[in-house]
Amino acid sequence: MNETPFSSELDTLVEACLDALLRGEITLEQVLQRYPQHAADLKPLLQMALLTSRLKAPQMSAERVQALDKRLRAQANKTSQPQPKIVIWQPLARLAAAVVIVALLAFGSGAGLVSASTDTLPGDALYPVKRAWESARVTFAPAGQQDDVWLEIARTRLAECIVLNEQQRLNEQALIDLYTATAQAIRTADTTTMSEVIVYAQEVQVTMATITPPPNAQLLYNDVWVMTTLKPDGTLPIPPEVPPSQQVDIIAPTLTPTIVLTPEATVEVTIEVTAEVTDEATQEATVELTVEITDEAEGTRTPRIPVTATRTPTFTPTATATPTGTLPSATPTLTPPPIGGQPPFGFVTLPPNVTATNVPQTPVFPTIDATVPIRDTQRAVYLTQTAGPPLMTPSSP
Amino acid sequence: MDRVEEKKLLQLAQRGNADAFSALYQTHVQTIFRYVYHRVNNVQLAEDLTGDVFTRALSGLANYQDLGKPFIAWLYSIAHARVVDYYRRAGRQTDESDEVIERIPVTPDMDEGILRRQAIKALREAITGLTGEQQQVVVLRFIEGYRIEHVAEVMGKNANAIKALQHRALRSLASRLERAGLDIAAILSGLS
Repeated sequence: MNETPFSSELDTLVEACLDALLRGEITLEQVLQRYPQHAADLKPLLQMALLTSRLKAPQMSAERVQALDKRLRAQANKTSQPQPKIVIWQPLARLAAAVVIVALLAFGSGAGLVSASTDTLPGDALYPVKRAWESARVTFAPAGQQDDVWLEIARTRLAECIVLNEQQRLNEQALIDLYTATAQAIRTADTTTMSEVIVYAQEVQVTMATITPPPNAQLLYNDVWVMTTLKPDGTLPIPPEVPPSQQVDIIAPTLTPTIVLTPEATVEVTIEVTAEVTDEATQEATVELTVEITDEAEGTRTPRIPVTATRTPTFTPTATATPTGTLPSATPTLTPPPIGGQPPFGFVTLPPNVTATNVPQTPVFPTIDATVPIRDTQRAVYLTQTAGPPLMTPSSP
Repeated sequence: MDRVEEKKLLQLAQRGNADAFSALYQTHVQTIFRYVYHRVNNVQLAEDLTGDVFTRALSGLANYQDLGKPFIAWLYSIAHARVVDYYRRAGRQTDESDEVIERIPVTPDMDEGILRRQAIKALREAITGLTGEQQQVVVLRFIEGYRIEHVAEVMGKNANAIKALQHRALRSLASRLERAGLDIAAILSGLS
């Protein structure tokens, strides 16, 4: 038959002809007469549609239908019984499961539990046992055999995704688990295992083509797809351990404080911003903002202001700190010049002719908005300002 | 069964009512069986996979959400996944291949009935050689007789994508049967 290129116009024409033909509104000959310029293309296609529409299928036997009905009723009655629901915090459950497994194995009776967990899915009571057993297998695998274990685990994750998809329960976490296990299988594969990993990667792609990713996991779905796509040379790319869509961008903090002192004073201000976030998608980062104000006449006061940065879905947490404290004879307002995210800061020059007066005042600190980098483990910002004579001793704190 | 009645049965079934699930099963079992049969071309296997489809449907019913699609659409998606999984486990992919159907020796004195049966056999084999999505379209559109919009709804795609799949599937089938040496026009005239 002719190899006419496919086009949306031709697709539409074929469908229009089929629709009329299959509903008996027109005959094959009439279609071909109506579209003589496409007759050569349309004829075999419409013939195939007519022939296929005449295919008959046998009925499922009545005995099988009734037997299956009986089995399903029994299953429905069983599942309708109230089941005690076990809710365990997942990491704790995994730890507990690991302890239980080790204990049971130590006494030689854990095989049944592990075996019972084999077909479990995320959300099942015994699923943590399954995952803990996998972790134990990776940990205790002899040198050179970890790649085999990871490949097996990756296949398990894939099978879980298939079933979860069928049950419309496929979620972001299942895809993360699939990505992680597959990435480990690829990263650890030696030359012998790599051919099996490539076959597995192709299975992943076939599966991914048939599943519907959750709306919030489209990027993750793409990560899995890209990771399992062969390069032109037939090899697989080495994927990052963490899905790219789950990685957090590092954004430098931008603090813009300035110091205005009345009366003339020597003030040393230290702002220390510390953000500690682990790689495990911790949702909250705690930042401690320390402001040290040194008054040569008074000594050092160190108000500490704990700040909590909440991680947003875009992984750009915002920390808002409103320092409060008491400075007896100065009113520093912090707004340093732009820092470009590279601590420590430089010096800020004060107006030289500032007269100090010994009037106790309540210091007013500005609100500092800091965009804190999630991946930064530590950042320190120092502002030192020296100008004019030291402050006089305040009359009251 | 209309959508209102189906929704009621689904709600009852989700609360563990075995009779309600049985009614849904009785309504759809033959449709799912036909769908699976045309994709695996084996009665016994189709019965086993159909049983698997409903068992899994019952297991997942608690999490089923009515997203405005008919219940059969969900059953089709499970059935499609079971067929894909079956081929995967059997070590065969449903991707379109250049596998040539055995050429049928056609002689002038060949009985028309035999020729027709040979053609039907070749067509069934050709269908199972299509990609999974093309198989879905062929079964739903030409065997179940769904309109293109309904096929699109069941498969979760837009109508243009289904038209393109349909076009490619028909062309692939025609090519395969042509290579098998079958005269489709003659077979069709014998059927009418």
